[in-house]
Amino acid sequence: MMMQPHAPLLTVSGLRVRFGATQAVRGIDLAIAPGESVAVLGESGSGKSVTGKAIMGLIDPPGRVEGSVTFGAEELVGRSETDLAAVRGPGIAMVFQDSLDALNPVYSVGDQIMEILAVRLGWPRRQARAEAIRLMEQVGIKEAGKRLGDYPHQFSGGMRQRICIAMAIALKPKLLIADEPTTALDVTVQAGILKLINRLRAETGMALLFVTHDLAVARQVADTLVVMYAGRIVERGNIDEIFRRPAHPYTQALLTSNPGAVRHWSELRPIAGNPPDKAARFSGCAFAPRCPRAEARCSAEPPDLRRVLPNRDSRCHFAEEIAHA
Amino acid sequence: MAVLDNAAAVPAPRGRRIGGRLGLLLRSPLALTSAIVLILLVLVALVGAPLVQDFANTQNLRLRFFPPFSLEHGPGYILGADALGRSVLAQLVVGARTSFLVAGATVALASVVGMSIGMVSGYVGGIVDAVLMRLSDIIVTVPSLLLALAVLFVLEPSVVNLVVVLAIARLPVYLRVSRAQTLELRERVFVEASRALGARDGAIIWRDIRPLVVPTVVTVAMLELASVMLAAAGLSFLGVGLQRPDVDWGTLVSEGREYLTRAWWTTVFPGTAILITALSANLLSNWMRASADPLQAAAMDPASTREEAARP
Repeated sequence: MMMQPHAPLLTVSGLRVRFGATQAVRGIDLAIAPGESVAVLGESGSGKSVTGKAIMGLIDPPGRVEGSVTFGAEELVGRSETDLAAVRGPGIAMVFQDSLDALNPVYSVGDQIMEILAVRLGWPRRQARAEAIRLMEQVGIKEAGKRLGDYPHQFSGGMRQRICIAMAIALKPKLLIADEPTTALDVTVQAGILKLINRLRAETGMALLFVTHDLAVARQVADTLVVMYAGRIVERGNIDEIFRRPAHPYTQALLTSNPGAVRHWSELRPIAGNPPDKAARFSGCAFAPRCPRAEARCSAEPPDLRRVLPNRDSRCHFAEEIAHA
Repeated sequence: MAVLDNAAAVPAPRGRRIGGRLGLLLRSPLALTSAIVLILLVLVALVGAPLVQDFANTQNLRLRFFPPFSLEHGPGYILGADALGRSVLAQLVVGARTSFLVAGATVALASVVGMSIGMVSGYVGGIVDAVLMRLSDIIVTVPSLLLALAVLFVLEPSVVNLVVVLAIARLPVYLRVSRAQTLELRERVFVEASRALGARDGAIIWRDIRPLVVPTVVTVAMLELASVMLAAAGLSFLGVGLQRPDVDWGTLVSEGREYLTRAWWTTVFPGTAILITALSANLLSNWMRASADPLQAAAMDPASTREEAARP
């Protein structure tokens, strides 16, 4: 899918997000090529959602964003709300986890889709209406013409999420950020949404940044996997290769704590302990207190994110050893 | 072209909404009664007041404290006469116009201005919010009657001045209600989703926040109608509000108060008029708030089968 491997669509470098003493994101580097699909994986509080919002410029004071986010040739950090509004929609669009609350309860879904087209593209009502119906059909809503006047509460969770996706792709974004879009849905509906996202990506060629805590979901939509822990990237690489051979103890632990990946519950290995306090400063590796492989060196010397295999980065002193075990 | 055919088969959403709301109103006896009462009162004020204006100011000292419910002196005196022998009924009709005008204009002005400031204050936050809220605190601290008294003493007491002064005094109510609701709404995901789609702040306030703040403000405004009528009366009583021959219901209540033991009708009838207006306004606004919410409207509508369509 990489059409221009040397011109990434989105480049994130040294991104930090702070809320007072809380450090949600502690320095992230990321590049997404046009049409590429990247999954950001992490447990609650790892900073994965905040990363998505920071890219969109949706972090409000007192939250502080440092570092750089470049979309195309444009720097997005520190830009005014007016400048960002021009990028949001046709440049980057976002789908949220809570599909019930992501639609305004007092307008019909048709009005909400048409409004985007009317305001941003200046389309007349008739044209916007036809396009809204087309979009709703594209995201798999049957009898779209009849359901145009229905309100959000008249749709099921999965259908609402489809409408949110229709709104997000209405302006043909180059990058879609999906923040746990299937977490609130049950498994059968979830599969439908993931299929839809894959189909839309194939049809439109847009890039995807998929934020999730679910390994199985990440594997269904992404080419590249980025694993986050305590506000940092701990491992990055091709998703299938990581599944075959993780090069970080945290990724390894995630794989063996996933109920879908083991044959019997007795083989499940939940990760001991809790994620670290987000206000804490680390002298060494953030994962060291929970890591089965940790040695004295780990809590003294912070590991860097480094290339450990072809096309694979890991933030662990013993990455090679883990990968080849 | 199948898409367009499909679109043509569906009635325009807006038309359906208004027709649907009228249908809902017809099915709600309490709200329907309130609406009819209010429409009648407004009609009486608009049509009746110019007709009985002269009669209302005609003094007839022989009919001083003429008791109500007697047709001895014609239907004009069916609600009795006041201390100067003026017809209570005719004064009520004339007073309706002034009361509706003053209370309506005051509430409209205060609610629109208060809501606009409140939404901006709540949405923008920070220093703007702090300054606006402290200003509102100051208005609250100064007793509204004292403020009105001072301003109207300096300026000439007229309907416009009265409206402006009362509106400023009542501003904080709307400001606080709409700000509080905006604070809650701006954290909702659909506001964030609008931002993520590139909507400007102004558009978010207008499209996303306003429709959810308006029903609350309307309910508050209807509650305020009665208190504004009484506040206007208080000012008339102190001699800086409306003066004869202008008369409103509040003035009638406060004038009649002196003769309460001798002639209860001069106080009770205007008081009842205020009560009926306030009650109808409240019942209607309560219904409007419920029907403005698509979810509650659907629950109110027994004929609705659209809930079925919600199932995938």
